[in-house]
Amino acid sequence: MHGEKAECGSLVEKISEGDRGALGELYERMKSPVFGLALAILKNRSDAEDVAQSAFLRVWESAGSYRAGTDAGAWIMTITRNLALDRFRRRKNMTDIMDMADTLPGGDDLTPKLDRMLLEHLLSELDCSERQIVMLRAVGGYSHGEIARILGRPCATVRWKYGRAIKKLQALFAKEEAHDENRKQVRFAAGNCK
Amino acid sequence: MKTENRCDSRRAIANRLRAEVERETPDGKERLLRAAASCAQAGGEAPAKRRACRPALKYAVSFGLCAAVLCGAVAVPGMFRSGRAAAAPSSSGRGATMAQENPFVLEAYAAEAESGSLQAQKSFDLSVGRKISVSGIDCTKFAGQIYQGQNLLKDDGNTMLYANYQGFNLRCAGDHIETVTYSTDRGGFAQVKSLPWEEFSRISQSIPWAVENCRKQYANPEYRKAILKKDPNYKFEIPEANRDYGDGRSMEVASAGWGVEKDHIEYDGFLPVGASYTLSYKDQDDHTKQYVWRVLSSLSHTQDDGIGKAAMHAALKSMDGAVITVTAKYEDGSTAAKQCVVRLDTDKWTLRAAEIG
Repeated sequence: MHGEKAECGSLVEKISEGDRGALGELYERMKSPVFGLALAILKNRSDAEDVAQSAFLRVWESAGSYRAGTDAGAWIMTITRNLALDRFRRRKNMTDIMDMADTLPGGDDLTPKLDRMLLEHLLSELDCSERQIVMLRAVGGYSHGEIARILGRPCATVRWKYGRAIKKLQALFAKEEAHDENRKQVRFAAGNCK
Repeated sequence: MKTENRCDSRRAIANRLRAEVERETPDGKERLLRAAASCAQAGGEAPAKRRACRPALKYAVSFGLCAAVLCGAVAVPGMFRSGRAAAAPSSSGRGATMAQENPFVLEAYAAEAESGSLQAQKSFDLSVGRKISVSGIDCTKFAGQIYQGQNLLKDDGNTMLYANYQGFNLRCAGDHIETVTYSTDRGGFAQVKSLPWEEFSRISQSIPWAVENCRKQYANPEYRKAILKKDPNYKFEIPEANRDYGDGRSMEVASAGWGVEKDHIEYDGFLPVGASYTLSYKDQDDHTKQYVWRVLSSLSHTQDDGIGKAAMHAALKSMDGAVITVTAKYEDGSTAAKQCVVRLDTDKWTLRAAEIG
């Protein structure tokens, strides 16, 4: 993780010199955590995609203000969070937040169904701060301390919320798994009856 | 053993989630690089020195229609000034006054050039959904996206009082003008004050409803237990509620946003200043001296329209019909004024402003 952070930092430094290749590389490395955090806040795929684009473009524009040696990943996640919250505040009074079912594309057979359900549960069952914490930890790989700094919350609160959120997800996931197993058995029984 | 299992299970959940988010993440690399290239072409400078530009076509389309002009003025300073009606001068002596000789126009700060066809409409969207630039510095928050600056001031259990902050990005442009006065017949103005984090935090934590939320959270035994388990010395200190909050005179904390220098977060408080304010002509271009238009609206708890939506509609309705007057005082003491009226389009729930006369 430390090597990765240093690499992100050096990519941002290259970006500040106008290196578009470095921007592309940074995008490849950070696109999922950035999109994930935006999705956690906005609960809408299309808005999250826009915010992710804006965040990387903001990095491109203001890479010169990045302080070498500091955590570039956390800097980018803070940019993402601010842009997403800004979008959320603008949007929240205009439309009701759309259901997750409307915001994710229809699943195909190749998409692991249970993983999809897990993401849907994350978006529908957790509150906004829990969603951000889980995304930053699970997808971004940040420590509780780093998340606390990004979110401006006490570390103890972050740890507690993460534990509680994962516990909720575990319970929901176990339920889904049991349902899935039941469905398989029903299908198997139906096949035998033919 | 049990702990290990629990950790494994947590890790498994996290891994599945990461895999799913990675699958869901769209590939926008080409789009990003194209946008970055067009930024570079537009700016012709190193990335850090360029002004922010539109990130994507979608933004351009959605925000492109939002004219940042309140009263049939010009979009880019000086662009459409010739041929515009002069502001009504106040003195009518024999010799022409400066006000008569130098009619001013109203214009909006804008980061991008507007389409010339907007001028002919003479009325414009008030909800500025895009960046504005003052003195070459992007001031997103001052552009006043209409849905952004809504703050709950008081909640007595029956009614909630909101302050709705509409970005006020008008600029009076002309020659020999000493001061400019903006006034409104409804609501008032608030000055945007940049606060240090400590002050922002102190005010934020002393807002009565924030104190109440904090009290509820700390009263939750599960929360207390979990925090104390991790940090036995944690102190649950409930801040003191600020009784002056929302009295129309004290600082109201409204927003925290990315700073104009882009490397730090800025915290703003809005300080109500009454129904009018005056500033020197050159101070209009000082990004540290910005104002917002502020209208109060109250909402009943019994409204079943969804609190957020109802609050927004109530705020917008209360702004409908408001008249904003801009008065320029010239170096010879003569004055000239222009007015515009704000109208609400209830189909789109957007505000438009049109010049009067």
